[in-house]
Amino acid sequence: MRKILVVDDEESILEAITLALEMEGFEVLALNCGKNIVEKVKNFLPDLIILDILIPCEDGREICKEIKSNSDTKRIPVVMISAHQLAGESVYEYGGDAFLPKPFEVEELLTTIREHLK
Amino acid sequence: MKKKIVDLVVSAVVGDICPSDAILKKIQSLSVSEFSELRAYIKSLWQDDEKFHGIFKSAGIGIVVANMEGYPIEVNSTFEKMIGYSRTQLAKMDFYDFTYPDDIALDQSFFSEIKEGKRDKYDLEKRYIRKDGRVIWVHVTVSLIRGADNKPMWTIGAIREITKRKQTEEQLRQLAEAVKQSPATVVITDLDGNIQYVNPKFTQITGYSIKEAAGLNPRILKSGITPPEVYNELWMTIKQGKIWQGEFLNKKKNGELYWEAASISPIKNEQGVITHFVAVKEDITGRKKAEEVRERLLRDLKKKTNEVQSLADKLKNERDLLEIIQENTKAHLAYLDPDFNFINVNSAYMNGAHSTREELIGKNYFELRPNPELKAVFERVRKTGRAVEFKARPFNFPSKEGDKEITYWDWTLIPVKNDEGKVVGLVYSLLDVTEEKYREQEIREGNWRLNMIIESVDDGITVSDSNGHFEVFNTKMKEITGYTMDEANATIDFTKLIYPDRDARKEALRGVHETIIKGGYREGETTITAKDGSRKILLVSTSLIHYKNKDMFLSVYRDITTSKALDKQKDEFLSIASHELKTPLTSIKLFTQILHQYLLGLNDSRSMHFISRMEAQVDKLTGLVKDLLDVTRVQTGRLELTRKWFSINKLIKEVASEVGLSTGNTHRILIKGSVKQPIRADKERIEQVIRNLLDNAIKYSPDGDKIIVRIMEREEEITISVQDFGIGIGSDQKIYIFEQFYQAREDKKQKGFLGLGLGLYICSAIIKAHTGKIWVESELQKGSTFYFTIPRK
Repeated sequence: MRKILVVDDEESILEAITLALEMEGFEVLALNCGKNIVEKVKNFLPDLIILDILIPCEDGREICKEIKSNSDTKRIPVVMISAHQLAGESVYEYGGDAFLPKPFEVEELLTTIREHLK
Repeated sequence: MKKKIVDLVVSAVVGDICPSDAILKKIQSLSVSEFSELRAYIKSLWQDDEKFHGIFKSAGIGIVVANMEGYPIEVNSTFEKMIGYSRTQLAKMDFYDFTYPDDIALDQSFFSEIKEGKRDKYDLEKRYIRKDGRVIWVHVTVSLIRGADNKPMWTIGAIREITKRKQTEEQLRQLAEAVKQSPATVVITDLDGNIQYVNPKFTQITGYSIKEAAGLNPRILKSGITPPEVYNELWMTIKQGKIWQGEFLNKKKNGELYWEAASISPIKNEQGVITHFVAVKEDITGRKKAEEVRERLLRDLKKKTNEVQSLADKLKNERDLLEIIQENTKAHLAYLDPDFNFINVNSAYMNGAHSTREELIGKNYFELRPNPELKAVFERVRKTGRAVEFKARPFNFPSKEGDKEITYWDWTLIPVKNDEGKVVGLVYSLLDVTEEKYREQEIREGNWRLNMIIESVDDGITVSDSNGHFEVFNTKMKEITGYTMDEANATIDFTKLIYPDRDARKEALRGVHETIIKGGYREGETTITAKDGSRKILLVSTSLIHYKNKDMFLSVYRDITTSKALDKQKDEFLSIASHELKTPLTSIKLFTQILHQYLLGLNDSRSMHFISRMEAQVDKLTGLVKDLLDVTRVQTGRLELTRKWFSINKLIKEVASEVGLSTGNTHRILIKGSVKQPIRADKERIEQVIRNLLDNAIKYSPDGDKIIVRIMEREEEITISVQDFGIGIGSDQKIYIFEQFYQAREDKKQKGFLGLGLGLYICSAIIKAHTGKIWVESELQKGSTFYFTIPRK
């Protein structure tokens, strides 16, 4: 079973994404904070990470950078999501693999995930 | 040879030839033998009586034959004529009877010697007293004639009158004496100018002795001051035999200079050949000095005379001028004596007083016009001797018609004083300044009104020259900047105060420069730093105006700091609000979709219907939030374009298909035309525009069944139009439809198309960002066609 790690500070979004992905048969780990992310990634070993940019404790882009700069985790695709269109345009600079502006549709999310899980 | 001499002498003595001094001398110089020969010859002549008498009678000189006692025996007629006595009278006379008494003794002694045989001959010059008493000078040569036995027989005297010569000699002597005693310098030179003679005066004046002067050239006297031309002219004149007269400045032996008036004449001999030059010169140094003094005095006198004359002319001119001024001035002038009686008035005064000169002159001012107050003023001027002046004083001055009206006059009373300072008269002057007064009032009121407007408007207004000097700096401007006009003008560069940042200042100055270039008008935003350090955003419009003969800048500043801040707050609010809205929207959207899937499995069609309605509204809400964000971006200048190459044909086809689907294919969307090449633009944004226009076209043509999209290509730009056949837009509305929050309100009643009215505003912003154009052609109830152009690149 494919594993996906989701990080978003907004509980309702976290729950909705988790629900939508589990319905599709993914194993999901949902986090509302990006602290000690590398540790958590190493423990969970996800096939893909969904990361919100604006989370209270840290800039999601910095978390992305952290993941991408660790040799054990850097090959894991990171899809970044945000309500800020402009912030989203810069995710590639931090090593992000895709950007999905909020609000998005379930179908859009699944398409993007499948694209990066090949 | 000797014979010849003797012949000559004899013929001279007894003949017609007048013997010259030279011949007489010759006779005297004859040797004894020669004389004997002569004597023998004469004797032979004498014996040949007839011959002798012929000669004797007609001889040119007086000949007297006397006996040894000295009594004349025979005289010729020449002698008779000379002495005035006849032969008969003379026969009874002794020679000494008519010899001048002073000369008798000498003659007697000579004659005695002849008688005593001591000499045969003598000659002397002596005087005779003629019969008429006139004394004549004669030259007498007395020769002894001996008889055959060598015994003295007679004496023969040859007498020649020399009175003339004697006179000349005397004159010469006198002349020589005169020359010697002359108060004038006399210099005689030879032809080469070497001095032959100088008189004592020469020595006295020049300091050169007669000895020193002899052989010298008068050029030693040259002072070097007399120009050479004078000497040249002198020599030319005298060498031509003419007399030269002139003046020299010469130099004495001791170096002292002196003036000489000279008269230089050539001396000619009997043949008319110039042999010498004589200069008679007079020391005129004193005269010269006197002349100089005289000339100087004359000059001074003339100068003084001229001065006096010009002064007189000037006075006359001034008097004339004064008269002209007096008669042509608008001022009413009256000249009064110390008792305030009229002495004189000008025409203006007479006109003003409606009186003739005769009615005024000699009359007392206050008898004609009693006015105790004015009289007090007059008396004060008379007493203090100080002028009194009132500017623009109101008067109840009677006009010619007799009615009184208030007029304004410059009023002066000036005392006229004599040399002792006593007031001897008063000049009273009145000048009507009513018109000026009114004009001044009007200007003042006009200025006041203008000033009031400038000072009370809610915009800062300044007028400044190109050096940054302010002529106008109104209260509002002071309020905005915190500086007064004086403070602004006191600094060298006011822009440095309000633009402490160098770049900002440069930018502001560039704006001013642009104003000049761009036909004198510019509008823009600028941020200044006020005196209290606060930053203010100003909307400034500057015009170039011509004021006080200079190009000046009229600037109007509107403080938009607050409205800018409000705008910013609004933008920020919109931005935050739309972002904050997105988060719940995201979860709603996800949950509705999950629910949709869930319900699909349950096959609950009723719930499915509800969930579909919810999804549609969520989409609408998503659209609105997007629009709000776009508007925020447009207004904050953050609408950024991401250009890439794409096919506009394909894009339009896709969008048309999607819009058709989402609206349930109520309208056929026809695409006409295409472009061959791809274009470079922001694909997502252009898609947004096309979608918006298509949505509107469908929305506002509810009764229509088609929409026509045209793609046109022209040179470097493409034009796309979207035509509907709907309700159309009134021409009064057209200009507003691209503004934010606009809605076609007319149709709202009917159909209730609600929205934020941001769609076209965003479209317009997107097209403008692409440097394209967007516009609409429309007719009510017939439909609208929206056009936009974008450059190919």
